[in-house]
Amino acid sequence: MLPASCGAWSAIVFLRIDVMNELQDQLIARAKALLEEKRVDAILGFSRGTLPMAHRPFWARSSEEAEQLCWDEFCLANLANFVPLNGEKNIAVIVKGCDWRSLVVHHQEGRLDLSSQVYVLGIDCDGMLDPEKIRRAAGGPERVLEVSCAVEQIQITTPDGEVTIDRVHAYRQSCLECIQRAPLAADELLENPKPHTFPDSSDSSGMESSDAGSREEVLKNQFKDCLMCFACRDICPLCYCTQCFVDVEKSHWLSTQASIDRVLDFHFFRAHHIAGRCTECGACETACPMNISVRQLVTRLNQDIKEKSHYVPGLELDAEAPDGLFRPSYHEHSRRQR
Amino acid sequence: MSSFIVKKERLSSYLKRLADKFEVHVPVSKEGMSLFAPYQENLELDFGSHPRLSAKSFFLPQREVMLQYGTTGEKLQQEQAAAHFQQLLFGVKPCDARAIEINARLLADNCSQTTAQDVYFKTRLNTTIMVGYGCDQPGAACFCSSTGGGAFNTTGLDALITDLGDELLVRLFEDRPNSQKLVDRDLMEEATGEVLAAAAAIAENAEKKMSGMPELVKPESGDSELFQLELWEETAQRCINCGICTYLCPTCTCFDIIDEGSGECTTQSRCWDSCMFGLFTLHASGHNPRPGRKERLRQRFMHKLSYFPDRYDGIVGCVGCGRCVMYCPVNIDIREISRLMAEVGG
Repeated sequence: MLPASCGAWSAIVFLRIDVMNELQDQLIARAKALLEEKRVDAILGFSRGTLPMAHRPFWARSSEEAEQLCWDEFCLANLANFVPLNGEKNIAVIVKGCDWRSLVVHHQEGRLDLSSQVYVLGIDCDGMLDPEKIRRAAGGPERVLEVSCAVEQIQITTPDGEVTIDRVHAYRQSCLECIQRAPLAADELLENPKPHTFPDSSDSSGMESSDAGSREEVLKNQFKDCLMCFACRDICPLCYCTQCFVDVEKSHWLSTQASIDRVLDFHFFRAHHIAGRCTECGACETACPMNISVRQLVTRLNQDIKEKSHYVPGLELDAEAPDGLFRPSYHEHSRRQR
Repeated sequence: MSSFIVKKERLSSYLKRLADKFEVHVPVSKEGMSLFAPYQENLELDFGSHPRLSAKSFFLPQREVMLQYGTTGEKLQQEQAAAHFQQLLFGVKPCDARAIEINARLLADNCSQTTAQDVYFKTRLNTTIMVGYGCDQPGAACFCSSTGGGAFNTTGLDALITDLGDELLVRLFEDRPNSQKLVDRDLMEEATGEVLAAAAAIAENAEKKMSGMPELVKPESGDSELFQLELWEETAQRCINCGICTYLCPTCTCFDIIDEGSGECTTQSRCWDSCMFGLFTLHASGHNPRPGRKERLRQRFMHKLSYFPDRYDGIVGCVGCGRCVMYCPVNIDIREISRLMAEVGG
């Protein structure tokens, strides 16, 4: 027998799926039109992956392929990282607010010309959910068989029944701290038909001030599980140096020996390289297989920059960045070695 | 084969007594992530979850000091790394244990085709006891039975546990001499035929849940044909060349040997390396035979699904633990790649 609340519950699920589909339908319709009208050669978006919550970056090059585009709360990667530079120029990119901000940084740094090279298909984002929070609620990553999202609640199918958590508890931390959900300038912007369920921007999770002694302890503990797989760097749209300092073998900036000191060296270097440039999209934290809050270091640096220079990265195309920020060395014609 | 019952309320006493003799490691969940940790009393053990990291690091640690050397006066001093205590991994997933056996083919001459003898790996192999924990609930990304393993597969294990609710059935494998070290007659009882039948039913049921998945096998097409597939170019568009798949993979064993330090003291250690990294194949001349994402990605799958089975009796270099599928940031799925490779010419 079904529980008494079941009827109401399925109505919520239905409403949610309906609303989500509406945005996705709009997106597909617009993508098809752009391709059919030959406004662009390809559309960079997401398609469904082989597991729940695992959507993959996807290039739709024909009207048929555009049918495979998807949009929901698991479009986690920052697509600015996947905009090709040496191949197709005439592409549309589907972007959330944070992804757009990364494109703005690229534009400011001369990596691409946002006004002529990329057609911005913006989405008014309602925040992405954190797969790790959902896995935790399910009792382990392997237990998540299916996830369906209603306006207020997230329902997870596990091998022994359904688990429900409130949507507010499932948002990704970076999304809770979001300051710009939709692109400020886009070739077109798809409005979210669903009422925003997103709480107001919460306090930033940047590293707290502390004395040097305890800071070392805190940092070592925070990064102790790091495997140095470099996924945080590789998924990051701002880590686009032709050769990363990690991969400079001759002067050996970074030892390849895995030890906590090297781990911290890596994260400190990287945080300083993206300070004042990072739009805190959270792609690094989502990619981290060991669930480390890798963003906290740069979040703290960004706070300091905001306080001292009143500068927030990626909000205006012609904004002048404060002096002293790192500028990646990128050579368009040499192949990325990493 | 001898089989014993340990009541769950006696498990902590049993583990405590094992910990007097061995360096015992058990799976523990913290904030939703299960990892092996040194046994201590009052740890909350989690045998159900799939550990985020495989058992590989107990045999091939991410960093292993091989040698320390330096000069004192005019003499060169060197010191070999010390031997370590006997380890016992309690609660290993059968897929992870089978991976160690596969690694041993490559590193410890367990296969007639190689003559390689990795002394560090082999020492750990000989001094580590692995107690498996049968998986009665395959995970969303699991496909062990597609690779020649199974939820209750015993390869590489000294003993295998079946969870019977209030008690645990411990089956000891007598062809593994270390298994006798697990017997503790004060805390264990001989298992009855009835219990064994119940355990067999649980195992059979678990295997059934995994059935029907396509096999992961070496594709029929030749390597040169597979090498040319468009699939690599397409997949490389989203591959970010991070090391997640290789570092979480229980059968990836590549490493680099690094000397670092000063004249007084230099440490030679070997550390995990990854075929996803550009430096992995960079020659001293500056030439890189795998210059980009496509070449590196292709190497990983060709190695697992073609070169490895060619060399090692047709066994694929994958045990179906599903970690690379679950944690790939861009959803590159070895099951899908295998299917696409098999489809060529078919």
